[in-house]
Amino acid sequence: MFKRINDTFTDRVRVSVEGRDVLVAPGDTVVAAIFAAGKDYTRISSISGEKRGPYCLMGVCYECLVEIDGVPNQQACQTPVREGMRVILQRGLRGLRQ
Amino acid sequence: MNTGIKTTDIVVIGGGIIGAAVAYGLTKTGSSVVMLDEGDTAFRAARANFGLVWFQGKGLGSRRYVEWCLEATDKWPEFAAELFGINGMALFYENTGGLRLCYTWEDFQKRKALIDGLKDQNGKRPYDCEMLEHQLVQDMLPGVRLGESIVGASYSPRDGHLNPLCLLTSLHDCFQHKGGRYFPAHAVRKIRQVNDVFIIETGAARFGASKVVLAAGTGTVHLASMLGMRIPIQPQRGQILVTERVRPTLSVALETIRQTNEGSFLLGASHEEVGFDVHTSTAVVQKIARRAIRAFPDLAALKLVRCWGALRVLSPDEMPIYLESEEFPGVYVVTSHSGVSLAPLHACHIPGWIVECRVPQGFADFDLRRFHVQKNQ
Repeated sequence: MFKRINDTFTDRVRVSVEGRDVLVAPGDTVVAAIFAAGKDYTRISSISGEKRGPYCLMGVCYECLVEIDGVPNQQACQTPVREGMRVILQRGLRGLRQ
Repeated sequence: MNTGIKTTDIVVIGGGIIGAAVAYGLTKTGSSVVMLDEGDTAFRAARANFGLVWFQGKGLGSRRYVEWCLEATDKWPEFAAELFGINGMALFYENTGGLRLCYTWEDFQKRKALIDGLKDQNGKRPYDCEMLEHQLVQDMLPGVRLGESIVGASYSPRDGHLNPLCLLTSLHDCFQHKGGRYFPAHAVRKIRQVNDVFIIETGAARFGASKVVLAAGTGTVHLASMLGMRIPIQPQRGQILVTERVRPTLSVALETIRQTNEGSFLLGASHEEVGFDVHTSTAVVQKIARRAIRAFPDLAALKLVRCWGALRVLSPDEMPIYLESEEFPGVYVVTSHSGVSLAPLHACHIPGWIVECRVPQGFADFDLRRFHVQKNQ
């Protein structure tokens, strides 16, 4: 659904999204990795059961919450990608011990 | 500018949880009621409190107040059902039972002495609160690990919590549903009596009423002074922290930690004499966070989402003040720091007292004579 405008970057960072590897550019946020994986949502809402995803892209809406390297409730738009990062969509609320 | 006077039977000044509960109760008496609210610059304890419906630990020194608190907690389930029956708005009220943790043996002994004092004061009638040591407290909280250093707690099955923003919204909704008229951004500038009518002036309008209820939290002091009354209430700051949302984990309400219906943990508390300052402070935020982590170490992993400071409305003995002015009969003062816990009584006994002069038994315990202060300056 989302397509990168400029595909000519040479440094590539490998990130796994829901078990699938994608290649993104250094300096991208995790939102780019999620879009590159063909997803437009990061979580299933605990209240409505709806798919919710990135909206403001500037850290104020808290819609783009996702689990990164085992830590839930991370804002995808505020987190830069790292080599080997594991991103999992968030389904409902986090547990107290995760 | 509208120079006409809006007339009504009763004006309630203050649209917080106390004002709205009294105003809602008054609509059920058949009186016409106007509720005036100051606006966004008011201190608004109604929107900043912890949401506890709390019985234990209150009222050493006044058996009447203990009875008042007990009656309120007994009436809460039916009050919640009454409001829900009008507008279908959930309050998320739960009688979960309540714990007040003791962090040291000294704290435990001190708390036990207080609870024993309350039991003695209650005489033959049971006082529903017991001291529990660490393992029994942990047994009550199967979903969460209790910190090792917690010695124990006092527990009462009568305590619980609710969503205070939902309560305020619902009270306002029920008030208007029953024909009450609400005027926000109408701070009261002047109250005076002309013949038998009280004229209340806000910047935007004037109101005429035969009875006036002052239920404006810390603002009641200034309003009461317009009618020669000196009400000895002082602000006390409390700070509250909010965490990110978590699956339902904590099934009991604690005096300083509870999990909301949406999943956030609310963490408190502080008791600061700082005047009318509602800032948060790093030192107090740290202290609240540390104590919460000592209670439940797994909270350390959670992110804090926001924090705020707000003012409790405290009388010198922390009990309510309910009085009718002697110089200006028809003017009532209703103030308490337990607006949430006491809401069912503020919605039934207080209106009965105001409209039908049905004075609850022992009500004199709640007026100013107990402070031996001059009522007029």
